[in-house]
Amino acid sequence: MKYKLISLFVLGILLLGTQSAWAADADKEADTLPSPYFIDGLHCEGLPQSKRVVTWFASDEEVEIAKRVASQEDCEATLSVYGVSKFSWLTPEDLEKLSDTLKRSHLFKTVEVSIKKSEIKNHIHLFAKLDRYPTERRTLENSFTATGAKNADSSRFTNATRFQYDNFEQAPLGSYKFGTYVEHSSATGPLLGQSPAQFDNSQYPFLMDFYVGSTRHLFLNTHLDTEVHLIAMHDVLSNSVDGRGYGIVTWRFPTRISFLSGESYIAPGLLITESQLYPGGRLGWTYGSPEASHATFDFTFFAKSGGIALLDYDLKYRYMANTLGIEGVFGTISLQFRLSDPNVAPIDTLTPFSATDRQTLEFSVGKKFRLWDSPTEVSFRYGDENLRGLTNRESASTQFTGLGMVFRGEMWDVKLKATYQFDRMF
Amino acid sequence: MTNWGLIVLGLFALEAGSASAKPDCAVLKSAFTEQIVPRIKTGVPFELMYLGSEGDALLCRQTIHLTYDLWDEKVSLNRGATQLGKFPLPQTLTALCGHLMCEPSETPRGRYRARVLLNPLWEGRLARFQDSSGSGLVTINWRKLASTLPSEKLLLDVEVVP
Repeated sequence: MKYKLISLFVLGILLLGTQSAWAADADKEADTLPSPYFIDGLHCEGLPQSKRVVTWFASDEEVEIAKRVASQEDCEATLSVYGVSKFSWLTPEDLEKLSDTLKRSHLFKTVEVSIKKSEIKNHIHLFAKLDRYPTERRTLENSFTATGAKNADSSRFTNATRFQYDNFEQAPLGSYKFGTYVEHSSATGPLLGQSPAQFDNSQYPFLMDFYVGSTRHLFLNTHLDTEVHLIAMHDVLSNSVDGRGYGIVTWRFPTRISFLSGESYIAPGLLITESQLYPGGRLGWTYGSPEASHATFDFTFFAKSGGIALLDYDLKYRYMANTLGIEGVFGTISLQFRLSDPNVAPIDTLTPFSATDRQTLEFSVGKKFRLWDSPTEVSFRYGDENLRGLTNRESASTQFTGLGMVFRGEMWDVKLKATYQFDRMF
Repeated sequence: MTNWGLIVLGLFALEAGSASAKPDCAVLKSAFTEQIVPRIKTGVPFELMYLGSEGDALLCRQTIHLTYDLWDEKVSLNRGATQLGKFPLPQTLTALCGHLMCEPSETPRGRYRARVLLNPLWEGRLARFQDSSGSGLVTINWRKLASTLPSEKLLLDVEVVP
């Protein structure tokens, strides 16, 4: 009996020791876990009511359940855009980053992220209380360009107006926009170096562009943007209307690399008698943080697949910064090469030259301030543009200067820009 | 009283007589109770920056990163990769004052402006959120931004007369 008691005592001590060793191991494991929090649940407040709920032939109770399920799905999909998903690990650093990213997403007026303990240690429920900005935006933009020239007929005043409506109700999961762009030039004669026949073929004093676009969120930080443009150009002198259309598809990845592709056709003449396909590609690259600075690199290439060769090669590098309270483009280097048959209407109506290359170096700075209780931006741009390979000139250089102003409200943007191009030599 | 006791008393007297360039910790109390504590309790880590400036000139700055452990209910104060300590919520204010508030080495006009910013937008914070080292970021010009550094909220803005 005595020995039995002793052995039970020893066994008990051994068991206690093992248990404490397990507990120590568990604590050690908890300390060395790759992430301290495991997300048991995601909860949102303030997201818009999902429009995916079908209410036909359903009882009130069924509709209510379907709404709650759709809201939960939207909450989880929205937070997954920012890299957070249910039943996954989350470090405190990730949590801080999520809160910060949501605040600077420009979608929400206020963001309150919090966590609460779940039943098990290190398990949490994440709560996001969001108050959205107005989900619509209307943009009205007007820009003027005055071009001086040695030949009085070549001087022109061009006015361009753009109106755009954006709807971000489902953002960041998706958004859509539509807009129009109208451009009118006072050009009455050919540019210096051009024949009247070339002027007939290349001047479109009236241009109208109608476009629609949508953005869809696909998976983590990846968006698909689509845009379709329909353009009509009216040549007053020959009373002809040309049409053009193209679409752009953009993929935006977490690193902001984007690929664009599109195609266009031109149908010259009053009646659409001919269409030509322009397969093309665009490549864009953006690096860095928009809060501090970033550089963009765009590459555009269009080649005509019809009988007449046309090459449009556009290489653009921009370095942008918005620290020090001043933001803007600190240096744009743009190289544009265009090779086309002079008898074919060029794509770009404002640069109706053929067999040319263009190099632009531009600097612009802007300052934001509050005027009439709405954020206002003023920007100044200055640059130099070189054209080479004109019909009867080897090269021409033009300096330009511009002043722009943007008034912003919660639901609207009004932009005014004016650009003067000194003594364009063509 | 021993000689040592006299020396200690003398040192205390000297300390009391010398003017401290740090503001009194009491000025942070209301911001701590109303803004910082609710923020700590959300469980989301955040950063506080103390800026001592005079016009455009930055005299001193200090940054503290706060994390709250929901299970042991202690606030961890960190500077960079260094943990300064873990404190229960009621003791955090004192610890915060000691670690956050810095003392300018000189105040040319005899007074300066002390501010506490919540989640300021500076390159250290931005770099921490970047996966890379943040080499693409422009370094902030502290002299220019001494009076206009953007942040989520300004928690304290007082004039200090040492």
